[in-house]
Amino acid sequence: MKTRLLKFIPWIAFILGLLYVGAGWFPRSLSPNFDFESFGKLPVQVGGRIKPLDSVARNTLLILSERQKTALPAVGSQESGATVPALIWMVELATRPEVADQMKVFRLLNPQLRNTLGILDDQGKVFSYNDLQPYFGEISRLSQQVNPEPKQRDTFEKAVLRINENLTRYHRILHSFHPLGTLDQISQEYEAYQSIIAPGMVQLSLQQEGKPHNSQILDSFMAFADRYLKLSQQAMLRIIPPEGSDLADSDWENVGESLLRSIQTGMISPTVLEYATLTEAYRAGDAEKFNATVQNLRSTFSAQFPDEKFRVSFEFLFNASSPFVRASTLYVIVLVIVLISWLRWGPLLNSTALALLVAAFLVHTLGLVARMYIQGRPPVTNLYSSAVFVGWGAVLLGIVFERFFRNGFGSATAALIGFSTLIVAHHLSLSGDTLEMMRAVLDSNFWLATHVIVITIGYSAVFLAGGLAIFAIIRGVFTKSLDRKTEKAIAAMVYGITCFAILFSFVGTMLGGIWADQSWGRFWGWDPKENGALLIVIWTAIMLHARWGAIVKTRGFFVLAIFGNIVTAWSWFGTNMLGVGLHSYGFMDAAFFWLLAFIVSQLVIMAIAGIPRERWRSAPLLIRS
Amino acid sequence: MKALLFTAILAITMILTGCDSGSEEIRVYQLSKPDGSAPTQAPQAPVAPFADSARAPATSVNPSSSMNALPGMEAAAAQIETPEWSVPEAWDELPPTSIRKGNFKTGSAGRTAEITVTAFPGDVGGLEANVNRWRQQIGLDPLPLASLQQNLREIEVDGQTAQYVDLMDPNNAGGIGIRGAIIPRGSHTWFVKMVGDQALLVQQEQDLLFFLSSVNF
Amino acid sequence: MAKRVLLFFTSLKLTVVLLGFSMALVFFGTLDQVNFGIHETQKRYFESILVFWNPLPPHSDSPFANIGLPLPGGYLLGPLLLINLVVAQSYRFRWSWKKSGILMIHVGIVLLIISEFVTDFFAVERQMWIDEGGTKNWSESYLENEIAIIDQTDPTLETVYAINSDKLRSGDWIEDERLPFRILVEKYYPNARIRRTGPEENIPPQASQGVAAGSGFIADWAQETFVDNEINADTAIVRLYDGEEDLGTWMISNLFDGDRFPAQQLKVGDRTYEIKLRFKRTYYPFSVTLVDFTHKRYPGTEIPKDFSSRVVVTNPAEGVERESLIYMNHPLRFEGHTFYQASFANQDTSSMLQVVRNPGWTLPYISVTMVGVGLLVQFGIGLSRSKTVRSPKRKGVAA
Repeated sequence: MKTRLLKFIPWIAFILGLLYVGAGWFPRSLSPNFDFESFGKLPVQVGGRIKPLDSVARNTLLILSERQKTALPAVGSQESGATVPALIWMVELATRPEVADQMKVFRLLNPQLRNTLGILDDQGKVFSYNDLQPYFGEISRLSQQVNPEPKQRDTFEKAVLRINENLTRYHRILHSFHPLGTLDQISQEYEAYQSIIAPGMVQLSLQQEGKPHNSQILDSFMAFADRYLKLSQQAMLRIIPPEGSDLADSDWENVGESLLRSIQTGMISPTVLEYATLTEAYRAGDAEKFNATVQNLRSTFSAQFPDEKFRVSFEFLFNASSPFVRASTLYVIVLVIVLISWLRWGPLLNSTALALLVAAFLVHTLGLVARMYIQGRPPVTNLYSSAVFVGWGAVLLGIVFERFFRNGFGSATAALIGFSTLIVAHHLSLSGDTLEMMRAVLDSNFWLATHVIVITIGYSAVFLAGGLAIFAIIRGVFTKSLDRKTEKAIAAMVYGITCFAILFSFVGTMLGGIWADQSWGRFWGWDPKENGALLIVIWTAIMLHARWGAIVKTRGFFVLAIFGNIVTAWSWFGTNMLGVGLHSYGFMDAAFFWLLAFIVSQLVIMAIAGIPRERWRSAPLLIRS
Repeated sequence: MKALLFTAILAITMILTGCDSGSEEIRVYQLSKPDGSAPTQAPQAPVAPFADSARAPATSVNPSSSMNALPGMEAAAAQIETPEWSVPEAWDELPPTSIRKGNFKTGSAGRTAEITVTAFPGDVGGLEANVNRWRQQIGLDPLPLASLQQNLREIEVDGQTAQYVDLMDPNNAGGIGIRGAIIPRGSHTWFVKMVGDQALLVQQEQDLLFFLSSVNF
Repeated sequence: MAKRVLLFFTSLKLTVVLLGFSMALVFFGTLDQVNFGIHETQKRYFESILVFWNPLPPHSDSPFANIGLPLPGGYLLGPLLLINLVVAQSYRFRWSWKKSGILMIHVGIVLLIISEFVTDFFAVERQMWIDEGGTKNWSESYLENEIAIIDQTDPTLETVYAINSDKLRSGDWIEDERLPFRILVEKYYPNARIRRTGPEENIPPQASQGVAAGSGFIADWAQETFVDNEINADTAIVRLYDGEEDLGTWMISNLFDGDRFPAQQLKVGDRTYEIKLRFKRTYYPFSVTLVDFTHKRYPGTEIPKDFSSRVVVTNPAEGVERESLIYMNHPLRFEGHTFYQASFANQDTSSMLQVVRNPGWTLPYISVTMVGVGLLVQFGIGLSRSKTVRSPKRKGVAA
C-alpha cells in the first residue's frame, strides 16, 4: 500500500510545480476600483517596437533601482508606504508627479560618490527625486569632468554618469505624458491652446509680412509654441500613434511633437486629450472616468493596429508571470532534493527531483518561446537571451542524461546551471530592455537562428561537462558515496557531452565565419569574440585527444572538463570586457569581479581534484585493493 | 628522411616570413583623364568587424555640422523660407541641405572658411546659450552673458535688430575662429556663421558684413 | 634516427602540445588587441614565427618593457600542425569505414589552415566611397599608403607612378629606371601631427616647395596609433632629383586630400607632374555608379535597420552593364571581386563599399562542410556503438 502511494509523489510534485509556475499567468488584480492592468497595456513605441506601458515601467524602475517594486511615500508616522509594483509607480509618475517625486527609486551605492555628495550611511541606499534635489548642481558639475573616453573611466566616474543619466531619464519620462504645471486643469490648457492656434497663425503671418498685428495674441500663441517645443525635446516616450499609411514603419510622436504638429492640423490629437482626461480623473479619484478613458485609448489602438494588440497584451502577461524567476526557484529546490537523494531515499527523491526539473524546464521553455513571439526573432539576440538559452540547453541535456543514467548527476548539474545562468541573466537585464532591436549588421534571422544558437548550445554542453565533473569530484572527495560504477558512468557522460560540445562549438564558430564572409568578406578576422570561440574548440579538441592518447585518465579528464568552464566563461563574458576591465583604474567593475571569482572557484575545485586518491572519502569504494 | 623533413620545415617558415602580401614595390599604369570621379570624402574610419560595429563614421570635419538637429527641428526648419541675399565674389556657393538655407565656402592658399545660414523656430535657448554653443565649437569655455558682451555688437539686418558675434581667440593664432550674426525675427531665429582660419576671417570681414547687409527676408 | 623523427611527428602528444600553444597564442593575442588593435595584432601574433607578450602597455618606460613571454607565432604553429596532421593521418590510421569520419575531419582542418594562409597571402581588401549619382573606378586601402607621382602633361592620358611607402625610413633613396625622378626620403613619419608654425617659433621650413612651404606647415612625429578607427597620418619630406638636378623638397601626407589642399605640382622641362602621398589605390577596368543609397531606421529610433546601395557596374571593354542591390549579408560578386555594403556618410548620400578579392574564398566553405559531416559521421558511429553496448538501466545506478 505504502509503495503504491509513494509512486505518486513525483507526479504530485510535478503538478505542484506546474501550478507554481502557472500561477504567474493569472495575476491578482492590483486594485478593486482602478483598472491599472489596462493602463499597463497602453501602447508605447520605444526602441523601434511597440510595448505595453508596463514594460516601460518595469524596465525603467529596473534601471533606476535594480528592482521591479518600490514603495509609496510614507504617510503620517509610517516608516514607508506600501510596496507597489512598477506599474503603480508609473501611474503616479504620469498623473501625480508630486507624489512620484517622493518615492525612493534612485539607487546610489558607490561609496566614493556618496562621500563626495555628503550622503551618510544611515540615509539608506535608495533615494527619491526630492531627496537628491540638493545634489543636482554637484552631480551636473561632476559629469562635466568625466573622461570623454568611455573605456578609461573609473568606477566613480561611471557612478556619476549613471546617476546623472538616471535623473535625466526620470525627468524625461515625467514629461512624456503632458506638459507639467497645474495638472488638475490640463484639459483647460489644451482648450485654450486649441482656440488660439488659428488666430495665432493669422497674427504670425501678419507679423512676418511686416504688417501691424495683435501682439497680445501673437505672444500668447508663441508662449504655447515655445512651451511645447521644449516639451518635444524633453519627452522621452512616444505615446501618440501615427496616422496615415505605412503605420508599421512610421515614427510615433511624443506629446510635445504632437502638440506642435497641431499647429499644422489645427486639431489636438485625441490621444493627447485622452491622457489629459486620464490624469485629471486619477487625481480626482474618479475611477470610473479613469477606466473608461483607458479603454478608449486601447480601442483606438486596436482599431489602428489590429495585429499588435494581442502581442502587447501578451507582453503584459509575460511580464507579470516572471517565468524565469519562478524557474530559478524551482531549480534551487531540485538541486537541494538531489543532494539529499544522495544521502537517503535515493530513488524516490531522484524521481521527484526529475519531475520538478521537468516542470521548471517547461516554464523556462515557455519563457523563451514567449520572448521569441514578442520580439519576432530567434531566441538568442543579445547577452541576456544567450544566458537564458545556455541555461535552457544545459537543462535539456541534463534531463536527457538523467533519463538514461538515473544517478541524479544529470538533474543536479541541470539545476545548478539553470539556476546560475538565470541569475546571470537577471543581472544582465539591469541595463535596460532585453527585447531590444538588433543593429543592422546583426539583423538576419537566418544567421541568428543558426550560428548564434549552435554556438550557445556549444556553451551549454561545455558547462554541462564541467558541471558533471565538479559534482563527481566533490562527491568523491567529500562524501563516502561515490563508487566505481558511478564514476565510470559519469566519465562516460562527460566524454559524450564533450564530443557533442566540440561538434556544436566547431560548427557554430564556422557558421560565424561564413556569416562574416557574407557580411564583409572576411571569414576569420581574429576578433576577440571569434578568438574566444576558437579557444573553446581547441580546448575540447585537446580534451578529446588527451583522452584518446591516454595522456589523462578519468580524474585528469574531469579536471580538463572543469577548465573548460573557465575557457567558456572567458569566451562568453571575458571577451566583452577587454579594454574595459583590464586597463581602467579600479578593476572593480562588478562583472569583471564575478568572472574572476568564478574562475578562481573552478581553479580551487581543480586543485581539490589533485588531492591523492587515497585521501578521498570515497577511496574505499573507488580504489581496488 | 630527417634531413628532408627539416629542410621542408625550414623552407616553409622562410617562405612565410619572407613573403609579402602581394603587390610589388613600384607600379606604373596609365589612366585616361579625368581619373575616376573626384574623391568626395577624406578616407573615413573603416567599420570595425563584429559585434558593436556599424557605427556611422563622423560625417565631416567642420564643427558647425555637430549642431544637434532634433527631429522636430529639421521638419520645422524645412518649412522656413529662404530670404534673398547677395553672395560676395570670393565665396563659392554650395547646395543647401535640410538644415542649411545658405551654404558657402571660401579660401585660398591652404586657409578655408565655411559660411552657413540656418534658421530655427523659437529662440533656440536664448542669446547666451547660442553664443556659448559657438564658443564650445571652437574649444572655448562657456561664459555668462555679462562676460560675453565683449564679443557682441548690435547691428541691423533688414531692419531687424541683430547681434554680431565675434569669437576670435588671440591665443589661438593658427586656429579657428567664428564670426557671425544672430538675428531674431518673428517666431524664428536666424544664424549666419562664418567659421574657419582666423587670418582668413580677418580678410573676409568686409565680405561678411556686405552679405549681412544684403539679406532681404 | 629517421624513425624517431617520424614517430615524433605522428605522436598525439605533439598534437596536444601544439594545440596547447595555439590556445596560449590566441589568448595572449586577444589580450594584446587592446593595445595594438586587430590588424597589428594579426601581424605580430598570427603572421609571425615568434612573438613576445608583455602585460605592460606599449611605449612604456619600465625596464621590464623589453622582456616578455615567448610564444610560437602563427606561421610556426600552423605548418607544424599541418605536418603533424598529415603525417599522423598517413602513417597511423588504417583506412576503414569506421574511421572515415576522422579522416574527413582532419582533411577539412588541413583545408581550413591552408585557406587561412591563402587569405593571408592573396586576399586584398579595399574601400570604395561613392556619392549618390557618382561613379568610381577605383578603391583604396585604409591601412597601406603609396607615394604617387602623376604625369599630367598629356591632355588625354595620365601616367601614374605608385611606390609603396609603408616600409620607408628617413634617409631612404627610391631609385628605379621606371621612375621619372630619383627620390630622397629625407624624413618619413608613420604618423605625424601637421601644424602651422606659431609666430614666435623660429623653426626652419621643412619643405621648399608646395603646400607646406606656402602655408608654413611643419610635421611633428606622432606615436603610431593602433586604435581600429583611427587613421595614421603617413607623412614624408621628399627631395626630388631630375638626374643630378635638385628640384627641391616637398611635404607629402595622406592628410593632404584634394578637397582641402591644392595639388602639389612641379614642372620639369616640358612635363608637369603632381606628387602626393595617399592611401594605396587600385584601379579597375570597370566602374561602379551609385544610383541610390537608402538607410532605414527602426521607427522612432536612430538604430540602423537596413542599409542598401543600388549600383550599376559598367565594363565598357566587355560591354557589360549590370544593375544590382547591395545590402547587409548580400554582396555583389563581379569579375572576381566581391562588394559589400560597409558604411555611409553625408546624411545618407554617400555609401562605402568594401571590395574584397580573395581567390581562396570558397576553401573555408568546403572545409566547414567536410568537418561538419565528418564530426556527425564519427560521433554518430560512436553513439550507435555505445547504445548497443549499454542497455538502458531502470532504477538508478544507486547513490
